Amino acid sequence: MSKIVVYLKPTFGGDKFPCEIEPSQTVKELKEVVTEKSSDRVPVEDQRLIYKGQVLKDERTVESYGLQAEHVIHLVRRPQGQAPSAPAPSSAAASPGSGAAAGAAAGSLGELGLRGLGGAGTPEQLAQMMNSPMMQSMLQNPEVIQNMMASNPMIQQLMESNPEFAQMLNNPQVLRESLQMAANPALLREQMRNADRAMSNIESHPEGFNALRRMYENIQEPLLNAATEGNANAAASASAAANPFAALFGGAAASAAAQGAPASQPPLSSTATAAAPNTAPLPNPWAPSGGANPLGGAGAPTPGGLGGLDFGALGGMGGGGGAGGLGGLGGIEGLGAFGGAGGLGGAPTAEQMQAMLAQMQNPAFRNLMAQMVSAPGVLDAALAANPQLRETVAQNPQLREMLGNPEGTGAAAGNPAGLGGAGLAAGADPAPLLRALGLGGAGAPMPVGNPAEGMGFMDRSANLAALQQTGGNVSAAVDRLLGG
Amino acid sequence: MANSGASVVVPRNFRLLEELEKGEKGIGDGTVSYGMEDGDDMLMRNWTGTIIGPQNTVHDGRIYTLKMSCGQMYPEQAPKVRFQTRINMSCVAADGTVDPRHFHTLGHWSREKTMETILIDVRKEMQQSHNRKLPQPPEGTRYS
Repeated sequence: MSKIVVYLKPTFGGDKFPCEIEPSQTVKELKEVVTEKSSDRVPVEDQRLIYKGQVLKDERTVESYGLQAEHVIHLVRRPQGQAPSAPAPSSAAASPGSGAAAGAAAGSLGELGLRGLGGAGTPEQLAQMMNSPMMQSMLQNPEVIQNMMASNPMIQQLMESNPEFAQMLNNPQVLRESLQMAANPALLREQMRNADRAMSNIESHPEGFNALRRMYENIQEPLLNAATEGNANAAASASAAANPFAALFGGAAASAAAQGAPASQPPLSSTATAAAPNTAPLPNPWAPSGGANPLGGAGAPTPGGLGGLDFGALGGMGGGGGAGGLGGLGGIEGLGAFGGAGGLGGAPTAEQMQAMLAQMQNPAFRNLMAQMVSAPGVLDAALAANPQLRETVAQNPQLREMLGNPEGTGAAAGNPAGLGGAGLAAGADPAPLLRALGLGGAGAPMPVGNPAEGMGFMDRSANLAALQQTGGNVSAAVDRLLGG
Repeated sequence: MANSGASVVVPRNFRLLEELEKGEKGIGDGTVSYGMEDGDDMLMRNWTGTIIGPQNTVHDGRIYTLKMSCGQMYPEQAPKVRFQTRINMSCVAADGTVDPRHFHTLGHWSREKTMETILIDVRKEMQQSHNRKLPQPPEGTRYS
């Protein structure tokens, strides 16, 4: 057991002073050290030590109170007689120290980060950096990280425009875990490999590369800009040191680029975090990386340095993993649900659904969808990659039309109920379709009549009757409705 | 960097981590101290605070321990505050609970306030003329 240094702060006046103590020693032994070190040699029996709102008991050990290096213990002197010497300190607890301390921490981190930028070309170096004591102590302090994020206007902007991303950045658990992950070279390498595979799969599909590029432009670039701007700051002035992540991002990007993958990390949510609420195993065998969480932001980002952050924003990219086609692109924040192979998997929760649907309201997303489905090759590729989906489509030509028609898809995307319902109505047996579409559970409770309404048949009861009479076959039902 | 986040609403857990660190580092003048009751509590709900009795009052030399409980709505909603050490004070109920109706900081809570604010304000309250001379229970006795 090595000694740690704690600080004693006398409440009766005087400066705080350091004391060296082994965590396994008792409070009484600590008090003996305090007597030695304190300027007026306060006797052990007059000392009362207060730490984190507790009066330390003599017989307990220092570590039993969770005391750590650099922490501060208040030293209260038991009053001798009636008149203590020093006047009462002002009770207005101004604390200019906190900002300064945080600033200092950030400063050294920034420095570290800069060094990292220069050198961290490989995951190993990155890991080394992440494992340095300074980083380690940082890892214990997510709020410092958050501070630094908040101080970067570009990241802030990004957070504003992408609430899920913001949520992720605001979750200390996720931050901490992603940082810790970055410190593990093995894990990092594994993710790099996964990412590369996913990338090459996506790139091998027509339109896939474009989608990738758009994603890169929309998310990664702003992030990197934010990061590099921070870097410039840090380089320009020592006091700025605003954004140590700059280096992390830079480092991550550098190593990623070296490996030929522009956006390197899949979220790997299955292992990444307990913070992500939904990492239930996926029944869909065509989503090979399993458990990829289409929530993107909320899902587990995994780090390359904080590089993981961008990938969190990219959503379940990794979820698309080997699936390819629409499925491969599926990760683009919930798009996977469309692709069939992607993200949502069998049983999405209501929250996931909502988040995904919210995504679908996003015009950019719709554009992307429209472009993707309007490229025939992509749809074919997706179908080829997913036998389940292909089978379903074969049974229901209408579905194919719907998927192939940007407007139809857009409309469906705009109308969440319609989407869920369409899935239900289109398949004679909804189960495989739902599985294939990845819309799963949330789709089930939706009224079957909705898609018909979406198509302009406004009489609900007639729709329902028609559907019932045709055993759920939409084209037959439509014929019936049209035929009067 | 401290002021740039002024417009950002700090979520509960970050806020509590901030306060935790501040408590551990002993920032402030040392007349109050606070920390988590159980370092492993992921919800960061239960906190312990101490107030060192202000001088020139009956509380001088005493150390008061309080429990503070931060609900899921903290810092939007004030924590519940209860004395562990017996005290005779106008805003403290018979069971040690600090009564928000008689204690302005809790009664008019805003998210800018912290547990440190509470402790400091309770301590100020001890210095008020109507509290400083009140007869007190024997030192060190606790509420059951």
